Amino acid sequence: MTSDVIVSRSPVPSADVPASVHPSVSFVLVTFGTDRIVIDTLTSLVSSLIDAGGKYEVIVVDNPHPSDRQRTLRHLLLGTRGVRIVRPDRNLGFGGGCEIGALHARAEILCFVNPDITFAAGWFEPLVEHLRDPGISIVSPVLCNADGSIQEIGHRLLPTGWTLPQLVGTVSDGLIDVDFASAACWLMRRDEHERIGGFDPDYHPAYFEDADLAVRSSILGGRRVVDPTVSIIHHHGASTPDTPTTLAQHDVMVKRWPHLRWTQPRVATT
Amino acid sequence: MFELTPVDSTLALRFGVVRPTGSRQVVATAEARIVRHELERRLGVVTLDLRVDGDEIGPWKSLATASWPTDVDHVIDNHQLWGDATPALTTLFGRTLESSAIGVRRRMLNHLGLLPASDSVLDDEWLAGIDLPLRPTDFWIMVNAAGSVNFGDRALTSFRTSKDHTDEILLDPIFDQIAESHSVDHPAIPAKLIQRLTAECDELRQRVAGSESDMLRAATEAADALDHARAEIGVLVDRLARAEIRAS
Repeated sequence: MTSDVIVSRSPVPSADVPASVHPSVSFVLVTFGTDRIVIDTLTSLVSSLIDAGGKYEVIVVDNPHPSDRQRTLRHLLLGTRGVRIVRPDRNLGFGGGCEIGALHARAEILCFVNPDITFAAGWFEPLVEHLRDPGISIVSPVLCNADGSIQEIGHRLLPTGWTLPQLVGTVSDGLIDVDFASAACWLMRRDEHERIGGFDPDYHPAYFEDADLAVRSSILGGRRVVDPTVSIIHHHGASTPDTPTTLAQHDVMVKRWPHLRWTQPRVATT
Repeated sequence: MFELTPVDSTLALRFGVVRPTGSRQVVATAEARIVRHELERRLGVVTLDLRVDGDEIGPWKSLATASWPTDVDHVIDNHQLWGDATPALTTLFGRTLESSAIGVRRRMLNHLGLLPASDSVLDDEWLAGIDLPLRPTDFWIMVNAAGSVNFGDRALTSFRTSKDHTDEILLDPIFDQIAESHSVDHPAIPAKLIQRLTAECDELRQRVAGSESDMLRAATEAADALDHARAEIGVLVDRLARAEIRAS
């Protein structure tokens, strides 16, 4: 596998990522034929971090889409500056894209973000603060729909292997423990991501890889939590023109974790 | 901002690890992880600061935010401590891995086209061709997947799992010795922890005292304001009474 790396240099960027030699956080986005919404996402991301004072980098892994391999690249080159664009020679899927992005990442905190998110100022600092606790493996915000309604406060893993978004949760120590949260936005320490093994390519091209990683985290004693005070808008389904089927991935999940019902702690709901 | 210092670092033993200039990043990172892993196996949680010749910081803190702890309990100079055994240190890297994670990572490296074929020879030329910053875990998986390895640097070759465990036999007693000199049974260690906790208590006490004096000042100001208000009310009541008399 080969991949080119381009740094965007638009003279009039909507999203201008400040240069950082030693970033503390690496934001990794995976695209697959993604349209202009990736620019909106990056613009809101950069704007939301202006007052945070941290040094960060943004890596976009642009999986080539068969219909138009240049679509996302054109948007990125026109609308951003300072974004490192990794271009694999084939579609690595979501998990593979995250992992090649993580290989290029230089920071010790990884933040995987979908390219169809709207961020508001102040979303990031509370989340990264939770990672000081070595017992916390993955931390996520509440995902909301564009109309402000709750999309998910993490997911519940059902004994059937299917997953159910939670709309409520029990707060403990200011956090809600969940079976897993959608990898549309989650933060991990890099060493923790490596300790667990990262995403499994058996779920290629997408779906269930986040649930699988969360199960492994759980088995190794890691907490997967949602901070109920932080919310972002997830424009669900807007990140790619294709939506992969999930039956095959579900099949892998069920075969991989036949004892799911007793390996997972149940989350009390109210 | 964004730096991660573990919340329980006050009680953790603090080790500074110095690595020789010029050693590869993948080796230095691996060595630091091994040292931390081996010490934690013996001593519980430790904090670790890695640097080159006192200047650069390794993987545990970012270069931009880290500062050499002035009160490290012990400095480990990798080169001085291990001497000729330094390259063998990386033999222990496999111990730092979760066995459940190895298979997943191996599959992912294969998916990304980065897993060497079982009949391949990994050497310096192969290494030069990798255009990504290699992480120790990936490197460990790669060298153990390959048919053979042939690097000029023995530390790289030693990533390949030892079959006869001679390096472990050589290295384990050294870690045992460090751990013994830093166990809580050692008279110097509780003293250091007590010193650190005392300093933290003093700081907290100062903060509380500061808060107390702030509160006292606020209470005095409030009492003064109350007295002033009472006096004003008295004057107003008096005026009102006089006005009522005049009106009648």
